Amino acid sequence: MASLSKNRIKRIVEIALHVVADFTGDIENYGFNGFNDLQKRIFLNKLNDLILSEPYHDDNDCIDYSLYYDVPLLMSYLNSWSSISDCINFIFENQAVDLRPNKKIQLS
Amino acid sequence: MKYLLSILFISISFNVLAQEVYPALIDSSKTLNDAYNKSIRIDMYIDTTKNEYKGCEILVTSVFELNKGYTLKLISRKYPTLVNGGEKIHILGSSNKISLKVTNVSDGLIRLLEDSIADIYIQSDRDIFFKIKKDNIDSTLKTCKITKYQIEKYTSKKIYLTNSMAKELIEAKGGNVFISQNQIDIGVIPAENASSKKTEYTTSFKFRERYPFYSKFPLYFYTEGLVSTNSKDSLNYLSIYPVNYNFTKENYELIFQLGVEGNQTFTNYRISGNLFWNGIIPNLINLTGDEDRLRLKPVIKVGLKLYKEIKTIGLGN
Repeated sequence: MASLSKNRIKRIVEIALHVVADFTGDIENYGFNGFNDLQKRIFLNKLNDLILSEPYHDDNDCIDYSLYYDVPLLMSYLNSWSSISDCINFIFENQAVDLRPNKKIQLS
Repeated sequence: MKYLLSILFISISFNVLAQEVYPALIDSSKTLNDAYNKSIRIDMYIDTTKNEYKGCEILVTSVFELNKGYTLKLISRKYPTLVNGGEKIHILGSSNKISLKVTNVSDGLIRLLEDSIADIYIQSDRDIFFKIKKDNIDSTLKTCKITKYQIEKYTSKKIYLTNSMAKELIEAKGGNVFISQNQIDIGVIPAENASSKKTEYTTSFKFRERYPFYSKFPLYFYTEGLVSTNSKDSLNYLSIYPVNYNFTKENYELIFQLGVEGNQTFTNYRISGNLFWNGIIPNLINLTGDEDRLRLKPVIKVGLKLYKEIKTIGLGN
């Protein structure tokens, strides 16, 4: 496991997208055309929150709460994605694992 | 007993040191910026296509277990006194790369990173160790290292920011991303369409700049307007808000502005205080006819405006 799978990332992106849009079908076919500044900002804020709260699974599929997935997000990156598929690929390729700064136990 | 424990400890230490450590090959490196954590990350990709490394993946937890008590520093060859202003650097891992994350980045450092001649790199006091494994088979487990010279080489001249990224990092506070909103559009109105019957040149603009004096509070200077060579055009306007505050939550933002709004020549203007709620509301109707479509939820802006109008025409006559 260790890394977030593309399917898991797609689910996270779907949840973030639901905050700003309703949709049916495969989200990978959609793009960011028509998104205004506020919609982009809210989508990115939600995406960041969801990635940070995603529990880290080690190679034995055990959850390690001392670690989290780190994905740098910037409005400039979103503006360079032509489709939701690009967004999913960006997160997949640029994920890394970091130590949580405060070692509070998260109940989920 | 004491001697026995000492010998045991020394022999364990020798065993660890005696493990063969393979030098890691770095394929490439790149920099990513994070507006949420106000951080800069340099990713060093491990080449797992050659020889004994082929098909191997990094054991992420080994990155944290094997590297403790290290010191990583930013060094600028051009401006040595301008870095190390409190920024911190730590090591991250993933299946194919080792990353170095610079946090606690000051606005001064961000501005320095816009200047590509600052020639910045990361210096480490020791090598970075990690374990790799192929197809999760224990017999393929190897310990590898990235030397401090590799760290220097692969971070050198990689840590820089474009102007828009630097602005985004500076403006990102409180875990939210803001857009600079700065834009300028220049246009021409041909004489036959212009109200003055002469060719007119117009400029519309938006400009927002964060005040540097109190970095924890997102207070901005904001101005927008439409001005033209025909200063009497009734469509022209100028708004200047020395006090502008944006607060963003889950799916809305709150904006407070205090300033002056007037026509282009300020013969007629008002002192204005604005409070806006700008947010997303649910889609009320569905006209997709069961076809797959993405329907953006509507954005609405409701607000309160308090103002006092002032006319300067005729004053002094």
